[in-house]
Amino acid sequence: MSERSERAREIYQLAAEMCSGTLGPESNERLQNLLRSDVAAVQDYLEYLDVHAGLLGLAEADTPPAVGRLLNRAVVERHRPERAEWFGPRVFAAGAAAVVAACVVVAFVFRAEPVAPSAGSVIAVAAGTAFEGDAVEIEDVVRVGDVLALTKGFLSIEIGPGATLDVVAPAKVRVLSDRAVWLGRGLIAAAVGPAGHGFEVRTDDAVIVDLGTRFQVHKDESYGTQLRVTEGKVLATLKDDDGRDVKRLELLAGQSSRLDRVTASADKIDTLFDFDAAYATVSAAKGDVRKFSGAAKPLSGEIVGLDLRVSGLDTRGYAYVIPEARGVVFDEAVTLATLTGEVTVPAGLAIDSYLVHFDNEQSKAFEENGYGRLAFGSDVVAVIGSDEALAATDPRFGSPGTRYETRPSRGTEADDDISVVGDGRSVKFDLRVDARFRFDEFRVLVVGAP
Amino acid sequence: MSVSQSVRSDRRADGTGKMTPDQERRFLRLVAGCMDDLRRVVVGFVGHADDADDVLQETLLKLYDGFDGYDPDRSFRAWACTIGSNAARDFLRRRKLRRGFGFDDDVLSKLASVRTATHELTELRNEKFRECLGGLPTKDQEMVWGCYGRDERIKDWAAERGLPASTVGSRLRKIREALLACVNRKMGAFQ
Repeated sequence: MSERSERAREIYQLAAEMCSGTLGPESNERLQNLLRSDVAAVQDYLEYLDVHAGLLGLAEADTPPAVGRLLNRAVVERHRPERAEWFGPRVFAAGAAAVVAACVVVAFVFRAEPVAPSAGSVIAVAAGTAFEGDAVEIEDVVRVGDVLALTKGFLSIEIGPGATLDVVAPAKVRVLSDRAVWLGRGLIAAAVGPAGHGFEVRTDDAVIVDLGTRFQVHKDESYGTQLRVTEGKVLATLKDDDGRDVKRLELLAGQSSRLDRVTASADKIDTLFDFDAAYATVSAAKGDVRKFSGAAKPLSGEIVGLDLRVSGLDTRGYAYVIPEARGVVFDEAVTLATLTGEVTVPAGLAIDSYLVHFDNEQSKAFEENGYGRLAFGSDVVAVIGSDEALAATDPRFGSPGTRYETRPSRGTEADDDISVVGDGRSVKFDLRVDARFRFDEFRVLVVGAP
Repeated sequence: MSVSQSVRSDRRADGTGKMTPDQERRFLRLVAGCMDDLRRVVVGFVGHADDADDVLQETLLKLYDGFDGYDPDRSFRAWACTIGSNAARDFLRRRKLRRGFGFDDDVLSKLASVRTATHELTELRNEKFRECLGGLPTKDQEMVWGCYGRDERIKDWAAERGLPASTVGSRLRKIREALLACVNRKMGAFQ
């Protein structure tokens, strides 16, 4: 073994102690001497710690709301009278921190306004969504008592254990708990998993209880509450003016109902409200993306015939996620050039495509990088980012009528960071732009339904 | 529903003014865009995950307090990393005073100057790191995602699988070293 590599090995050993917080005085002295010896030793040390930092960063969301939460924690820490380290070695730090945290909690009980319990979080806000009152941002915590009043667009929230709600404008929703919401007006689409069994949507007319299902509820002044079940079953109970039960209906997939407190009617009949038309744009805009984070946004409104050439659709610092072709199947295996090398798509496998489009050219916001994360409902097959590969896949995976950029630098560059993470169904991205060109695109192919 | 409502309240309490919601949103997005770099700079000095968290929090407060003075024609990333580097060095100096041992100023300066001088190389290594990460066996990837760098999470993760925490800790360290070797190999091939 060479002297250099022997020294590097020793530096790695000491760096590992630094990472685990166990570096003692003697090791510290030895490490300092090695770092003083030459620049290469410092490089070896930093390279080891860079890998450590990279691994630590994997579990972090690094999105604006996540930074906001870290900042909030920093404020609480700032008000701590003492830091845990004053109490001695790290082994005692946890206990000391618990005591300090308890003091902070006690102080807040007496000094701060009570904070409503968290019921869930915002997992999608469509581009162009407008609010009456407080605006809501992606990853905001949704608390009991919060009112979501949309005048345009749609948003999605994850609430309680296993329920997801799409709220479509114009709508007003109040969060009653992590298992119930009140719908004042507008459309809600609920998807409730097994853990969310019993989730309720209440209106002035009725209480709708999930029994393991997907359903949509629309409320307006003229026609009361209209309900459609698309999967599983729900229990709908008509209420009178005093909140007493008047009539119960159990609805199965494919059934619909109108419940109206004013006319005291509740029947399994066709609804007057066109759920298909009202929800079609949401469904088309989200595709099978289960969760958007950071700068990632679905579009609202029509997603056909888009102009995705430079400055054609300014994303104002966000990254729009645009569902493209669905269920593409090749008769023979096809090899695609992806960001991680060549990937062969087997014959017969159905593929859905999504284009992530970031165009900051018109708004010219300086250094507004596009970073975020997308969680899909199925496995990611490939991520395509080079100019050539994007152009080559436009005809098969692009949307008919969409105008794509054809000039160079459309795709991602070496400093953009895009990776498939977690369980293979999520893509994390950091699109780095500079003052010269603020445009990036990449295409994500996921397993779809044939 | 602002994500940093308490920060704004805190600033009001200090009489130091506050950001408008738009400024705050812009600030959070700029910081989020360079968190990877900031974390690398801070961890490069302090090493341990909990210490890095403390320094990152301190850095965020400094960035927030100093954002009024930030010149938007300059790189936000460079500005933030300089503040992060200074915060980490201050942290180590304070800790040295308390513990009686730690890095001397000349070593801290050397770390800072090598970090600055090798910025582009670091970017390239980071790219190779991501490639290497993708090549890890699925089980190792799951372990890294599940509990890397956090003692409490390692204990929980190990307990759920009926493994001794020390075994998981040791495996994580091996993974880290395997990744380093992979990056070095790829850099060798590159150079």
